[in-house]
Amino acid sequence: MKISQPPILATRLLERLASGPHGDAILGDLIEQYRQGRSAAWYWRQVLLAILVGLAKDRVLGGMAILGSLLVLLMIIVSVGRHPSSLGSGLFLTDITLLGAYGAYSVWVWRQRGLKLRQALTAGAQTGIMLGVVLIASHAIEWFAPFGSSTAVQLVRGAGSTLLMLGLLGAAGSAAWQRTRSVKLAMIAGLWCGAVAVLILLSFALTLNLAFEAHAVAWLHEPLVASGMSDPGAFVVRNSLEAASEILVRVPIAAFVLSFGASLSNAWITKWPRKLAVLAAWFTPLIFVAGAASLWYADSLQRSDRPPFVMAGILAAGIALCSAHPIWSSLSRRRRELPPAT
Amino acid sequence: MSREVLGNFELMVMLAVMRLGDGAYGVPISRAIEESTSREVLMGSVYAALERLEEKGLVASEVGNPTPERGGRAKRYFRITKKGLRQVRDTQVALIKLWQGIPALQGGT
Repeated sequence: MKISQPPILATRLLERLASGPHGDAILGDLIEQYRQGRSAAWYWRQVLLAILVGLAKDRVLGGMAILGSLLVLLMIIVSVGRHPSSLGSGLFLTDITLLGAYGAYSVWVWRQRGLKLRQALTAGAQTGIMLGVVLIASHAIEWFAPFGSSTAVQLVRGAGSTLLMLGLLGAAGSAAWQRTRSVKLAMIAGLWCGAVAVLILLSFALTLNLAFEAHAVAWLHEPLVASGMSDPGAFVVRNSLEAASEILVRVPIAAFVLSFGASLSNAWITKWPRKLAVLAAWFTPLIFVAGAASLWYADSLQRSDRPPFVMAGILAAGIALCSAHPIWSSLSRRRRELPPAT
Repeated sequence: MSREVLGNFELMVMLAVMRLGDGAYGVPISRAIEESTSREVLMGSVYAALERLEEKGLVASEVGNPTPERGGRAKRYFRITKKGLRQVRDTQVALIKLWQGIPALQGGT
């Protein structure tokens, strides 16, 4: 007797994309039911929804990031398709290539099954969601705030979100080191945190641009006039492509450096006696304020007039941000380990 | 009483596993739920619930032998653990307490 074969493409899709320990059993169950008389449409529906359920329950968010990369890619293609004159600067190809790299990293993450690696990636994903929310909030304030809102407000928003971003990228590396005791895995987690956050932000920002193009044109009126471009929509798209290419490159670089620094910092601080950790908790904000103040002062000067201590300011702020999570986790861990008061 | 709370679907899956005994794998579990709810059940949701229950230690699983009618893929058999049984009993007690004394639910069809 000839055995009926379920749709081969659906089977291959589930084989490739099923997550969790029961992927093979799900496929076997679906094939068994198909051969007992279920329709091809039923089989396809079950396969696609099994993949979606798998994506939704995956705590490292590899599958969600694959979908995020595709969504961002699709929105860029639609935006450029609506305004073909935005092409021509090479930005489109740069963005597509970078998104391809993000997609490839997401696929790699999606396929990882090692316990330690998944622990690190979960830390990265959790911090990445937090960072994504921060970046969305910052972008929404910038986008929806009344035009011409005070420079001080914008400065606080910009500086606040940037510092939070740097702190969270460091926290991802530090938290991953704490779970795995591996600097390499901490850096992978930091990169994953950055990738998740960037994909969240780009999905949000590009959706806004597509849905409220008129608002985007009004928002970018001054730079549009300065650019001399005649098609306002094309200018908005080109501006988005430029911003996307910057963030797609800068965040992973920052993530790489900060997660490395924070994981080393955590490894070092863990060995400290409690008194020293408490002392560091008091001094780190001061180091950070000193670093941030020197950067603030430098920002008010012409580039040529900036004194050499600016680099020391960057270093101080960076050290403070890398140390924030390690100090906090070191202190909270020791508090939990203290014997109960009698 | 345990502090864990079973979701509606998780409870249905646990009851189906208990009802099926040694033959509890994906196909009969989903069929048992389909028959009791008269709705199509997604195999992905059944396994997602089983995975959660396994992580909580409420069910355990083992792999059977691969068979040709399943495209050479093995069945995964599930059974309830002692902790799982306790959990189902606790949930039953809690639901019965809530159920009692509601006039709208007395003697209805």
